[in-house]
Amino acid sequence: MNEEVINIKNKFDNKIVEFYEKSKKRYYITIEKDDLLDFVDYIFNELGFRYMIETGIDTPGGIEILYHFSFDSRETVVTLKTLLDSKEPVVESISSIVPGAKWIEREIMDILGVKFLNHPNPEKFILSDDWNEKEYPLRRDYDEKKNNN
Amino acid sequence: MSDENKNSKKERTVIPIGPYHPLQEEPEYFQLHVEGEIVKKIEWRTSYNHRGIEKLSQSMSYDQVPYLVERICGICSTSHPLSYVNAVEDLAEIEVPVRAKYIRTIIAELERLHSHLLWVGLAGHFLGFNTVWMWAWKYREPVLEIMEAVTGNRQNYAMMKIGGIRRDIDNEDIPSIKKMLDDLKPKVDLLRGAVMDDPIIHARTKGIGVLTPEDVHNYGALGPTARASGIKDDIRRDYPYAAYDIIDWDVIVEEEGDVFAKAVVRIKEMYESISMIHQCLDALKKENGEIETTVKEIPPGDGIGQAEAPRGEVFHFVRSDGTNRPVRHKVRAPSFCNVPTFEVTTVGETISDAAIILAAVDPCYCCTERMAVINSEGEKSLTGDDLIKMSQQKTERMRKSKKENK
Amino acid sequence: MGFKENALKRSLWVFHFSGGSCNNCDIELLDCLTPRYDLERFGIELVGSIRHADIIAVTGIVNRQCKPRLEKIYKQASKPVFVVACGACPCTGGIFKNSYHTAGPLDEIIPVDAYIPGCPPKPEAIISAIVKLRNKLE
Repeated sequence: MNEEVINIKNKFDNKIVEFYEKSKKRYYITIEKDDLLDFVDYIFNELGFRYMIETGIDTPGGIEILYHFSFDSRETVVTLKTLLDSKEPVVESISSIVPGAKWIEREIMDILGVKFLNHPNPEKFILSDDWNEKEYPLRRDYDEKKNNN
Repeated sequence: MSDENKNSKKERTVIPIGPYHPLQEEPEYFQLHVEGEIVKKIEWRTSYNHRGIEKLSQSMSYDQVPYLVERICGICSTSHPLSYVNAVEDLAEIEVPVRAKYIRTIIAELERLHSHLLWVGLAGHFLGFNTVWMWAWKYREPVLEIMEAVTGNRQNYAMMKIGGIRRDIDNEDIPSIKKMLDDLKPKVDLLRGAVMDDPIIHARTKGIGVLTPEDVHNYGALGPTARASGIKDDIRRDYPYAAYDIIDWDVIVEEEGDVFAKAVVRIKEMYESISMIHQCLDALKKENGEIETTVKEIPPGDGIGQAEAPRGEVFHFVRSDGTNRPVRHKVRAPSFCNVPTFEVTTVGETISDAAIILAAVDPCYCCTERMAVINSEGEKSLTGDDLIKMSQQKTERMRKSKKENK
Repeated sequence: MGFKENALKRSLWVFHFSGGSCNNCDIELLDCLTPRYDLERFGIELVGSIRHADIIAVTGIVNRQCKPRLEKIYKQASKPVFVVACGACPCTGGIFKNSYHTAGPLDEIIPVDAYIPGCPPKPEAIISAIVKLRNKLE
């Protein structure tokens, strides 16, 4: 485990819900969604990790949002994992810290119906103008036939 | 439109570009808000290219997905499968035979060659240098021919497979590939001269659309776009895959961050690519082994795969639940991170420079969107292709004034 | 042969419409105009406005966002106009057939005169299609 990952571990010792080392290059850290901005601020601004992307996954336990960060010179990818309630998925937008996150958050909004609080421009992004509201194609309960018009 | 907006935009002109614009191959829709000649704001609307690939991928087996992901983008049609197989190999901890690693590198670098040539051509065209366009595209043809000889298709090569590659390169073909590369090198010299020694191109591209290292970090910009701003960031070196850690090569970095630096990075990278392919071909002669390992099943878990496409890092995330299909497959193309930098690079520049700044990151909309109409009442609207025309006229003006000064 | 058809026989001008493609067909279409294939020899060139065009070359699956725009463009075209489905996607839907965002195949949206299969079709195939279209007029 390299220095940067140990730093994250020490700094947020009591806030880490679960720490999983998949291999020497891949770390998955589960956190509460209220602590998200603290983590992102520390990892992105202080440690200087590169923001890669976010992934949204609809799992049986809720909607998971993964924030991938990379520390290129150490060959390390750190993924923050946070679980949202599927009925009302709401999470703070990280775009105030990471400007590059604006687009992907709009995309996740479109395809999974996650609401990002304090997003500067929460408009439709990748789905067509005539797309039904409240239909999220990557949700588990999405009905393909119903939406094919 | 609210009253407040109306007042503040009183002297603003909105230039819509697209969605169907004669000089874009792909549909996209930009709005440039300009005051006088200066760009004040840029907005865009996507969706014209969205095909729902991430969802489709969940209905395909692991072995079928490479065929799908290489159709995300025609120009990066090796980077996406390569990144995907890297993700699955990371997930299932599969080791790839050495010969397959070399062949993966060869295909990926040939792709970089043809993509950079394509870009040089288009950039020349945007500046009003149609000769550069025709040259670059002409010299791109031999690369595609080699691709056709090796893989069977000019594009969409279908070479990547979990655990290896699908087709071997016949050792007898190696001399012809090497000959093509040797023939290509003087052509790249020619293009380098055309771009790097031309005073007009210098005048049009130096100091234009500067991207600072801070903005590279903020927007997560990648590939040549980041490397032109002095960020030594290359997935091939940082997260070595295929044979990039076995062969000898350099990461090309420029400091200025302007359009010219981005062009220089791409041109210099072509030389590196040629050298890398030569090294891999030499190694292939000695390395006669298997080209794939047998993969029985994919265990449950998460996998992250990266590959350096011609435009930057391609990122794939695959989650498996132990069945033969991915539960979630996330794709992030480099343009997704590079295109938002327009927000900082075009604002404050003139409209005639906007076209080349937009083109400088080599945006690829079909990658970005794998997955309008403005109320311009009371505002003056210019037609779509005025923008490119302005850019070409500016070059023409400069050319003339240069002649007069002589 | 009427006057309009006779006029159409000469230099065919192409309007390129990308309806959510992967870029491959678009690049190959553009490739036809570059020195190796050089379609401009025959007076065939890409034009920026649909009102000047004799052929609409459609690439890509035509997704839900593009469909209304394609219909609008087709209405604006001066008739007679040929529609060419370029590549597997507009012909059948290709690999994206089952996507939630597709509105195609093309012939369910507007009438099609020629299909060029292939993923992507080679420039030779595109040229051959245009020659066949031209001969159809005789």
